[in-house]
Amino acid sequence: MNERAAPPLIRAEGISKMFGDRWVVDRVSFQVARGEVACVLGPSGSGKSTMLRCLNWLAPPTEGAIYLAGERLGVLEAADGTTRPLPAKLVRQQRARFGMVFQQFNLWPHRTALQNVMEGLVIVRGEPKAQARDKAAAMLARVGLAARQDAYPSQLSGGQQQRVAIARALAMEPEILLFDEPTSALDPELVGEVLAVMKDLAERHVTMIVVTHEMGFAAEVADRILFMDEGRLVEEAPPARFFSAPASPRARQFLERLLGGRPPVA
Amino acid sequence: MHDTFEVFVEYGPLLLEGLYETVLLTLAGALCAFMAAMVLHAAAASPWRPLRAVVRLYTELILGLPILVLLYCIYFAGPGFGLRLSAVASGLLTLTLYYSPYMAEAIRAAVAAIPSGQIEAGQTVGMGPFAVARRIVLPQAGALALPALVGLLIGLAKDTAILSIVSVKELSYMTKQVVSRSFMPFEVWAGVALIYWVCLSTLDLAMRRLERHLTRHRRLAP
Repeated sequence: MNERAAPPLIRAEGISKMFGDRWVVDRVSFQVARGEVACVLGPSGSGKSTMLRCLNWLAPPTEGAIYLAGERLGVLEAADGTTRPLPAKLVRQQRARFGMVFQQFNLWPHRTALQNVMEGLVIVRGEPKAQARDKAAAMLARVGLAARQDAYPSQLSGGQQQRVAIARALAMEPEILLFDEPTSALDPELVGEVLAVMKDLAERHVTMIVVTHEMGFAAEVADRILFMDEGRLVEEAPPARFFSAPASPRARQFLERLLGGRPPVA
Repeated sequence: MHDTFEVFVEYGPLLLEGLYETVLLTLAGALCAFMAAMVLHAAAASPWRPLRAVVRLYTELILGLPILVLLYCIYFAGPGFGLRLSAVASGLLTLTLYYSPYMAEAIRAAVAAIPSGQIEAGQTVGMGPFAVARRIVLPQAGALALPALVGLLIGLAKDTAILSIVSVKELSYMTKQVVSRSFMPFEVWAGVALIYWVCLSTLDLAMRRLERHLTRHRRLAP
């Protein structure tokens, strides 16, 4: 997708995050257009997850600005240029425009798959239960789990749990989906089913930012690769170029170590 | 001289009166202590340091006192500080002060056991702190805290007997009265012990079933 044609759905301008006296995210700027899939790659500890959590204000950035569909997140900008923090209630409304899928799934264990997906619709949106149930069932069907809707998370495999988590995020009809290493906690044989669901979403042009170590998925599905190292956005390139001819030595080193010089198999 | 059966027929109403008082004190004491524990729990998490320090001081003070000494302090030493309370009020205050720090600790441990990721998942769908507490933390922390809270509730129920020392007319106090009138200490105390045991065991059993019910999602086969 050509990002110059469409205005960016999300725009990060120099976002930084400090933990203690360390800059975990360091002046990161990028844009993602509507319908685009961006994969964030980089060695562990490079600030990818924290950067992702800055976007939906789970970890408010220390510096910088984030815009979703042109709206500044987390901050009220007065006409005279002064800024102040946005009231918590409005921050929540902005956060709900993002869907998020976590490495550890984070399903609520005391609720069934269906109840997990319904929860936000009923509690946050105030939708009638019957309507929320229908929607939730449809979402579970979309991730291939129609038959397991009454199972509790403890009765589901990791891959199934992650698919429920994706359905839970989708049910809120987010403008953009954030994935924080969605397959890193899964047994290798369960990775495929989750990636298949994500691939399906990409084909339906759901805007996604995916922090991942799945190089094959990134090569096949991403429209753009964001490569981070030591908190910095070191390189930004289409996957074909990133994987065949990375511009930065850091990215070359990273790919060398990970793939041993072979191109990733999609 | 009566025989065992007759003594319970004759003094049954007195003992029932005492049992009723014991149940009331247990319920009121548990409720007050639990509410105080919630306040302590909230205060311990306050961003305001002096408040946290007060909670810590209070907790350490209570943990280092026998409940009997606490009762004496409130009932006998209290008036010296202008605190004049009836026996029942002193008893309730004692139970509340004594049990609230333990209950607060049970609540704290249970809340701390909820993985932060679950709370973030709630925030991510747009929940505020109130919805997160009500829909995610409370249902799970309640089930987690229940065994410890039930233990404390039973301890509190048993400790109501101590209040007989300041003439609160609960079951043990009434039993003493009945013994002094009937001159049958062995039979009467044995009977009352059985009453205590049956009541407390039933309470324990009921709470265990409740706990099993609340945690059923953890025992499901895959």
